[in-house]
Amino acid sequence: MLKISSIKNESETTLSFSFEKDCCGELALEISLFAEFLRERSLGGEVIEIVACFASLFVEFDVLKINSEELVREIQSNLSEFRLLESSEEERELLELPVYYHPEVAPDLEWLASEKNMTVDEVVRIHNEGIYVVSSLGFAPGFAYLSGLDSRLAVPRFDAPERVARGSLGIAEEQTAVYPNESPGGWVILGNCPVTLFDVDASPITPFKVGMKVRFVAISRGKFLAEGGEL
Amino acid sequence: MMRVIQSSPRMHYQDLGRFGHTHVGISQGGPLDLHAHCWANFLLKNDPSATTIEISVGNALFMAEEDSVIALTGAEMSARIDGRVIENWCTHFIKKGEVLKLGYAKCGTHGYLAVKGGFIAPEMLGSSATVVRNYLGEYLTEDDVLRSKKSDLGDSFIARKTPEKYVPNYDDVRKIRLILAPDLDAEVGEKLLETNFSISPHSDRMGVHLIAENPLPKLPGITSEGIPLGSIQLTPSGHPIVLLNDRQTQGGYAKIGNVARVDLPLLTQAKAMTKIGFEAVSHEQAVDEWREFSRFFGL
Repeated sequence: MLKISSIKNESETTLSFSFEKDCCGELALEISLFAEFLRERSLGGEVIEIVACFASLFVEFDVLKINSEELVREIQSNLSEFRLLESSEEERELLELPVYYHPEVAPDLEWLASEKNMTVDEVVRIHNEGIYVVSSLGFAPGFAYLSGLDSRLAVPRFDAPERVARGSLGIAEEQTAVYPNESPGGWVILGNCPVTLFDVDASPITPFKVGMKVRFVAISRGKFLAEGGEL
Repeated sequence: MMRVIQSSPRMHYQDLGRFGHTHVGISQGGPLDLHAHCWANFLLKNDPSATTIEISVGNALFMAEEDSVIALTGAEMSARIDGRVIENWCTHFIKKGEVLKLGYAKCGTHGYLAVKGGFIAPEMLGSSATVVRNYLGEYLTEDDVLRSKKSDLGDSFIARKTPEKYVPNYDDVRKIRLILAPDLDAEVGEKLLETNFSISPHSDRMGVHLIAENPLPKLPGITSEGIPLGSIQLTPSGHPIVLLNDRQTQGGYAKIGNVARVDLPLLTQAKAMTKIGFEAVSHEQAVDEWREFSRFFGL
């Protein structure tokens, strides 16, 4: 069961609820499911944004329609109604994403292999074996934080962000993610995914959903280019 | 209808912002100076959500391709219509064939051009707000045609002006009010309020980068969480960043305070290298003032 551990009112129009868990399970995933539950109810238009973060829920509201005390009560009563819908492992959608793992699209691939005393092929194999879970969406449009990276590959992010190419597959700590568009970023880049992951004209605008499982499949240079990948 | 003859370095459509998509990583966007945007629409009796053009730095030319009623607010850009000096924070009648010229911003950084009825701009996810880093909209450039919603201009044009007391002097800002972070270390809070900062030229629509006279004490990072508009993040360098409309949707730097919504325009309009300081305002006071602002403009 999710429990609110603290509430911060940092600005005039926002509240940030921190959570703790009194039992097993993934905190980030449960917060995301709660956020979805709240969004479906939309709370009568007084709420502008509901954002699930790793250990907190961020809510922006309209001060002309609701005040922070009322909002806290709303969230608390919704939380007690919220019953975690235990979607079984099998029922969760699995998204397969093709990735071209090669130094010509991945500036850090060889560096990581040598850092970890592995061959490039081993790095790719370990990354491919993982079944990842979307734990949060954010940072940039369509950017999904995927948890479950094998600790043998875990690596801190770089100190200073650099330009990262569209489609870059990165890792940082025990997470992995694809940059949907060119962006500044500090993750360690291992490959490139040619699939469009953010398109405002598509519905949905991103294929990711919190709680969804993701697998990466290594593809050849030829297939990467055929699927629209750019060198 | 107007045509861009010459565009300023950064010039784009803005409405109140793109709401309800932060959870997929989309920034809200919206005018950096909400006060000026709202006044421009208010003077024209437009809805506050009508699309205006945010013109940063200045130096732009527009040609009227039909008779139009426009409003200019925000940064002072020595505006002229066909060479004749016109007032800022005021509505104007521009005849077909006349040219509106904006000079470089003299006081403030961002000017707002509104048209009666509002500009017709491409809407994405329910908003015309341009957020270039999200690939939502683009800068306006030479030869772009600016269409406006059909609107009855009436028989006689009477200029409307923002009352003097609501026209900020962007050059004369020393203290900007902030709400201190609820869990802030007392020593850091004290330092934050007594330190002088200057505005870094690296500031953009994501955030105003401040250079502290003496770097603030280091604070450990936090687990990434949501970031309110105006949030003051303390980076490991000891120099804070005030996060603005095009900010990332989550972040893990320590947050030490939040600029009061009604004071944000004073910060976003400040020119690079301007010196500023902060003073604390209570959360209640800041909420009251924001509520009053929202109610006045019908946000």
